[in-house]
Amino acid sequence: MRRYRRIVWLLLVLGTGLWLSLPVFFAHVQQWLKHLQTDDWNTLSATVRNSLSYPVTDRQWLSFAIPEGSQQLRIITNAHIQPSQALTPNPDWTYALRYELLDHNGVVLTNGLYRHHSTLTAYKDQSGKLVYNNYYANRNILPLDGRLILLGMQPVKAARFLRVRLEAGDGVIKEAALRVYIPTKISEHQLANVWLRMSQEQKDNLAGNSIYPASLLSDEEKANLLKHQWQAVGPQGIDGKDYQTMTLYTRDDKEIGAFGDDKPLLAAGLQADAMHYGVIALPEGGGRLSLAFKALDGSALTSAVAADLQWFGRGSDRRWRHNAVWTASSIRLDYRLDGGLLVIKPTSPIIINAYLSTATEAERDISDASTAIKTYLADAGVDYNIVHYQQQPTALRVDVRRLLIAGATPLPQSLHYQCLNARQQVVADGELSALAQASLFDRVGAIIEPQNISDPVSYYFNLPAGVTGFRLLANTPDFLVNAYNQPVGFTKRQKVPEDAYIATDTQDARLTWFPLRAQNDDSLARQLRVQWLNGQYRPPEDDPDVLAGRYVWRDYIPQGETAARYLLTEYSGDAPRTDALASVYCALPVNQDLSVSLAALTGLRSVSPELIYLRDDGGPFSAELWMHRHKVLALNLMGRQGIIRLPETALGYRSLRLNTDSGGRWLMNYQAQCHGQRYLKRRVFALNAGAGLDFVVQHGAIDEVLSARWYSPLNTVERSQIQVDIDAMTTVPPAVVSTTWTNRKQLYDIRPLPSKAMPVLHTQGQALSNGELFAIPLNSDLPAGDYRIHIALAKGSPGYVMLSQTLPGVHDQRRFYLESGLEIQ
Amino acid sequence: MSLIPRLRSELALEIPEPLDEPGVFDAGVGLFNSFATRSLAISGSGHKESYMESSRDVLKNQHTFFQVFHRVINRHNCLQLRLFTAEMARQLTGIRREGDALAINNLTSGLWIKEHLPEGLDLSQLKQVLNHYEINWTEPPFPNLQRESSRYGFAELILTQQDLRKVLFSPLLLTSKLTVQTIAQTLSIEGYLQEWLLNRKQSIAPKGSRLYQPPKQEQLLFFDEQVLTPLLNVIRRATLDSSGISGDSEELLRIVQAADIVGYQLVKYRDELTRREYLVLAEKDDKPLKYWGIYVFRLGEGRPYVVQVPRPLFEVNSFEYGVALFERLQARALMIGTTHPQANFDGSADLINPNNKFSLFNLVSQALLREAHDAELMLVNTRAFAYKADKPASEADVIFSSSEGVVSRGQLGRLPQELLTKLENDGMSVQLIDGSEQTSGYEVGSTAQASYLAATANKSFAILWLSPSVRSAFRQQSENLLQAAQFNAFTIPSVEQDLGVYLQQHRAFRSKVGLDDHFRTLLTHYIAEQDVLRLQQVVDSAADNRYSLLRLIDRNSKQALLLIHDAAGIPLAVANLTAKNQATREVDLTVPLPKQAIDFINQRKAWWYRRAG
Repeated sequence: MRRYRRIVWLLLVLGTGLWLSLPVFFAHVQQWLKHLQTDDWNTLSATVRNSLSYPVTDRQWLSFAIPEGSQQLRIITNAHIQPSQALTPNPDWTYALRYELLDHNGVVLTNGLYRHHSTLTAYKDQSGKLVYNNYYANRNILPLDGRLILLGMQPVKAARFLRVRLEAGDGVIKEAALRVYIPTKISEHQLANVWLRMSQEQKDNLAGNSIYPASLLSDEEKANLLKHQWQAVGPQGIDGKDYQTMTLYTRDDKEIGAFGDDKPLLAAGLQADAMHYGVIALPEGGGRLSLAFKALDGSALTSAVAADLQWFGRGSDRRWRHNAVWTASSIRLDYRLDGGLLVIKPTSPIIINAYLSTATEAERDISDASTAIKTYLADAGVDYNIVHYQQQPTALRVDVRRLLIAGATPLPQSLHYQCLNARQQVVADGELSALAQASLFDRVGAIIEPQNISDPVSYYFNLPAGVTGFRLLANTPDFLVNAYNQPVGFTKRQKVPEDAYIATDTQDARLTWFPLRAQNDDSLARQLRVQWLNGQYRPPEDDPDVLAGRYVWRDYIPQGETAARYLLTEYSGDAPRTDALASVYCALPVNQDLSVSLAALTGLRSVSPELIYLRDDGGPFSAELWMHRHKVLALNLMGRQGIIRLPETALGYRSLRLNTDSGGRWLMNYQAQCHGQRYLKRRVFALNAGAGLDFVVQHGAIDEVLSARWYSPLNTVERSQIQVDIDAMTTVPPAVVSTTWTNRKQLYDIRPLPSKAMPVLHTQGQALSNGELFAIPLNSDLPAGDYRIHIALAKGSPGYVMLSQTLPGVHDQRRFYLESGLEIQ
Repeated sequence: MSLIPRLRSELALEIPEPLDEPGVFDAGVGLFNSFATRSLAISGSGHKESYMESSRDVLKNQHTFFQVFHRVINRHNCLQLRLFTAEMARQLTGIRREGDALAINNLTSGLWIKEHLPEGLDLSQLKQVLNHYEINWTEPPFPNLQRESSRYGFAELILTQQDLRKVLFSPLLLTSKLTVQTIAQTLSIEGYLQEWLLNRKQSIAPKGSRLYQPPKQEQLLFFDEQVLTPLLNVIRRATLDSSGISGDSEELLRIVQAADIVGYQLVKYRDELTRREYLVLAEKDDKPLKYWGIYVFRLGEGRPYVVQVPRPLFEVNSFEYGVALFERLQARALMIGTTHPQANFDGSADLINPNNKFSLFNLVSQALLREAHDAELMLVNTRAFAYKADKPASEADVIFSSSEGVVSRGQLGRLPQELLTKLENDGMSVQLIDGSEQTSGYEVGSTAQASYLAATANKSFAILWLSPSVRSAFRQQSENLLQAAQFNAFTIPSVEQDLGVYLQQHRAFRSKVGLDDHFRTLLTHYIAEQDVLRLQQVVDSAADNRYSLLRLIDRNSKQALLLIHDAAGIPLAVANLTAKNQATREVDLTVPLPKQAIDFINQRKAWWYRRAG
C-alpha cells in the first residue's frame, strides 16, 4: 500500500490541477469557438451572446427543478422554423406553450397555456446579405425571435418543479428552444464580496440598463442589481436522452438593423413623384415660399430633378406656371406667391419641404396640407343606418374608390348597393363603379408603396322614409367606400373670399356633407377593414373653351319691377373678345391727336361708340370731338358724369381728337386696342333687405354654373350675407341616384375687399365697390327645366347684384340688327 | 497624451492613471475646461498592466513620454488628478473597506501639496466644485516620479467617488442670471398640458425628420447631477416639511442655470382653482429643440406613481389619457416624450427601445426610481394597442401589463392593485396579461424604463395598453372639426370653459324642469352614432321642450359636452358628446359641482343630471 502512496498522491495532485484548470480550459475553448462563430458570420462587427437552450416539442415535457421560495420564473422560447420558411410573406408564426407547476410530490398546483406570436429579425450586412438575429452554429434550422413568459410564483410557493411542452396545433411551429431562469439567491452579507470579485466586464453587464456606468452606481443600486440577477437552470434528466442541448447565438448589436417593420422610412415632408403630385396650400395672404427638395431618405439629391410648378390663385385669371430645376448645388427655390394652391410635379421621387414667410410672420413649415379620409373596404359589407328627419327623404352621398396595383389593369368589377327597409328587406339595389385610373393626388400610404387608389366617384341618393338601412358590398377586396349625409333643408354656407383658400380657422368649421360612421364600424375596424387615405386639395379645373375664349356670356334680368343701374367696374383681364367691346370702355386721352382702332362683332361694318365722362365737380364745361379732322360733336355740358352717344362710325382706324376743359376722365367703348385703364359696364339690380330678386333660369340636364356678383356700398366694412334658393318651376321628381348634387339653399357670407370707387352711371356721384364674385352651381342632378333663383339679402347693407352665366363652347346665337347696322339686344 | 495650449492659466493638469481609475479622465477634461489650464497630459497606459511590464508605469518609469512632457512643460506649476483606490485609502488615511460595504466609506477628498501651491491653482474655485476637501502640506507615501522631479509647485488632488461625480458635472460657468418662470392660471395642469400639445405640436419631432438629438452620456450625467437630483431633493424636502417652493431660492436658481446649459427651463405652474403647484421641466423655446421630453413634478403630497407617455402623437391619444391619469392618480410625476419613435432613421428616437437607454426620458425615469430609495413607487406607461390582422383583439378597454408577470389580480402588488381598482372604478374593463392570444405581445418585456427595475427595490412597472375606443374617448374635442361643423350647421354655440366653474356660475341642476325622456333618447342615439340627422332631431326636440343647447369644451380635459338649459337658462343636464358608455351619473347636491364635474369627465359617462323626484 505504501509503495502506491506516492503514485496516489501524484495522481491526486495531477487530478486537482486538471480540475482547477478546467474552467480556464473551457473558457479558452469557448472563446475560440465564439471567435470562430463570429468569423463565420463575418463582416458584421456585432457582438454575439450564446446561451444553452433545450428543444421542446408537443410530444415530450421538459422538467425543471425550482428552488424553494422562487419569486418569479422566466421562460424564454425561440420557435424553430426551416430556413426555407424564412421568406414566407405574412407568416403566421404563432405557437403556444403548456406549462405546469408541481409540488415536491409531483402534484400539479397550477397550469396554463401561453400563446406567443413571433417574428424573424434579420439584418442586412454591408454586402446586402441577410443575417439573422438568432442562429445555431451547427443546425439547419432558424430560431425566431425570443419570447418571454414571466411567471409570478406568489400563489404557488410550494412549487418545486416546472414542466413545459409545446402545445400541439396546426401551425408551422413544431419545435422551440427553451430556456428557464430563476432568481439568483444571494445573501445580504455576500453582496460586497460578490461585487468586488466581479470583473469590470461583469459589472458593466450588470449595470447595462443604467444610465451610469458601473463605476458610478450608488451602493444601493449595486446591491439591488446583485440581488436581482437571474440564473439559468437546466432540465432534469440525462442530456441526449431526456433532453437535447443546443447553443443558441444571439446578436445584440441592434444598431445594424432597420427600425421596426420592413417598410423603408421616408424623410418628413411632402412626398411626390411623376405619378403623385404634391400640393402646397398657400393661405389667403400668400407670402414668400421657399421650396427644398431632397431624396426620399432625407439625404441631399445627387442629380438634378426637374419639377413643373403650377400655381392656382382665386379665379381663372390667377394662374402661374414655371419649370424649376433642382440641382445638387441648390439650397432653396424661392417664389413670391399669393394665396392659392401650388401643384408640384417632379420627374422623380422626392421629399419637398415648403416654408412660408410673410411680412408679419416668421418662416413656418407648410409642407403638410394633406387630409385624412376614413374609408372602409367593402368586401366585408358596410352597413349604414339611415335616419330620417320628420319622415322626409334623406340625402346620402357615397364615395367609391378602388385600390389599384401600379402597372396592373384592374378587372371590371362593380360594387353592389342595397336599400333596406326596417325589416331588412331589400327595397332597391344596384351597382356602382369606380374609376380605373390611379389618382395623381390621393394616396393609400407612402408613394413608394405599390398600391394606388383611384379618384373618388361620388354617388348621391335621395332615400325615401321607408329606407332605414343602406348596405354596400363588393366581391373583391379592392373597393373603398365612405358615406356622408346632410340635414334636411340644409343651407350650405360659404365664406367669400375665404373659401377660395384652405381654411385655417378651426373655430368656424363648416361642412356640406357630414361623414357618416358605418353601423358596423367597430366590427370593420376589428377586421382591419378601415383604410385611412391621404387626400390632397385639388386645384380648380379650368375649362379649355373658356380659356380659349370660346364661350357665350349672358346675364339675367330679375322678374318684376326692380331698380337697376349701370355700373362701371374695373376690367383687368386679357384683351376682351370683340363681342364684348360694346361693354368695355377704354380711357381716352384728351386734347391730343389719337389713332383709335374701332372693332365690333364680326359682320358689323359700323358702330355708334359711347363717350362717358367722369368728373369730380359738376360745373359747366365744353367738349369737341374731331374725327379725321372733322368736328363731329360740339357740346356745352355740366355735371359730374354723363354718356354721349357718337354718330355711327365705320370700323377700323380712326384719327380722333377730343378737346375739352372738363378735367376728370373720358372713356370710350369699341376700342380694339386700349393703352389706358379699362372699365366694364355692367347692369346691376338693387338688393335690399326684405325684398329679394327672382331670376328665372333655363337649366339643361348638364352641369352649369351661374356667376353672381355682389356690389356693396363703397367702404363697407361689415360682411354681407346673401341667401340663394333654387326652386324648380315645374315639379319633376329627382333621380334616386345621381353623380352630381346641387345645393338648393346656399348662404354666401361675403367679406368686402378693399376697392376703388366704381361709378354708378346716371347717379351723379354714387359709387360702389368693385364687387365680389360667387358661384351658383346648377348640376345635372336637377332635371332640365326652368328654375327660379331667389336671391335675398339676409344680412348687411343694401347693394346691387347681377347674375350671369358663361356657357363654354360654341353655341348658336341669334342677333338682330336694324338696317342702319346698329346692334340691338 | 495631449498638449492643448491655453492662454488663461499657467497650470499644467496631469492624469497619470486614466485606465485604472474610472471616471478620472472625464473629470480631468472637465477641470481642464473649467480651470482653463495651460496643458492637459493624459497617460496612455494602465498602472495594472505595468505590473507585467513596469516600463509602462508613468509614475515609476523615467523613460515615458508622460514624464518627459512633465519635465518640459511645467513641472513647478502642476496639478495631478487621482481617484482613491483601496490601496491609496489605506496608505493615506488608514481606512479600509468595512465588512459588508460595497465601497470604502468615510473618505474625504484631499489635496497633497509639495512645498508650495502651484501658482495657477485657485483653491476657492476648487472649493466651489468640491464643497469640502482637505489640504495636506506633505507628500503621499506612494511613489510618484512627477512629484519627485518637481521641487515645488506640485499638487495631487485625490478624489473620492462622490467628489468625482461633482467634478464631472459641476458647471463652473454659471454666470447668467436666470429665474424660474412662474405661470398661474385658473386651469388644471391637465388643461395646461393639453393646450401645450394643441398649440405646440411642432415641438414633437415628426417621423423621418431626423430632428431628435440623442443625448450623450455625459450630458445625461450632468443633467442628473446638476438638475434632476437636486430638483427631486428640493421637491422632497418641500413635501416633507409642507413648505412651498420659492421660485427665487438660491438652490432652485442653481438648478435653473444648470438646466439652461442643456437648453431646458424650469416652470412653476400653479392651478389657481385648486391651488396645486407643479414644476415643469421643458425645453426652452429660444434655443434649438433637441426633443428630449417634458417632465412635470407635483409639488406637495402625491401618490407614489409616475405616469409616462413615451409616444404621445404616434400612439394616438395616449398623451391625453396620460395627462388625465396623472391627475386622476395624483401621481408624483408625469413624463412626456417629445419625439416620434421613427423621427430618426437609425431608430435612436424610440424611447422605449432598450438599445436607446441614453435618453433624458430614461434618465428621469431612473432618477425618480433611484431617489425614491426603498419606498414604493410605480411607473405607469400609457400606450396604445391597435387591431391586428394576425390575432384576435382584446375586448377590454385596457390591457394591463405588469412587471410582475403572469399573476392573478389578487397577487398584484399594492400599487398595481390600487391602479387596477381605479381604472375599473372609471368604468374601464381591464384584461391582465394571461398568456391568451389577445394579450400576446403586450408583455412588459425589455422596455428601457422597465429594465432598470433590477437596480431598485420596491418598485413596480406597468404598461396600460389602451384600446382604440378608450383612446377616442380621450381625444381632444377642441379639434374635432366634424363635431364642430355639425353644431355650427344648427347654429348651436360652442364655448371653451371649465365645466365645473360654468355649472357653478349658472346654478346648475337647480331647475325644476325635468329632462324629457324622448329628448334624452335622441341625444343618446346621437352620442352613439354621431349622425348629423340625429342631431337635427335633437335640436327639434330641444325646441319642443324649450331647451337651449350649448356645446362646451372643458378647458381642462378638452372633452366636448352638451349643456341643456331650461327656459330660464339654468343647466339641467350635461351630456358627454363622446362618452365611452351610456351610463348616467346622478347629481349629488352635497358635493361641490367642480369636483363632481371632474369625476363625471374622468368616467366618460354619457349623462349627468338629476332624476325627477
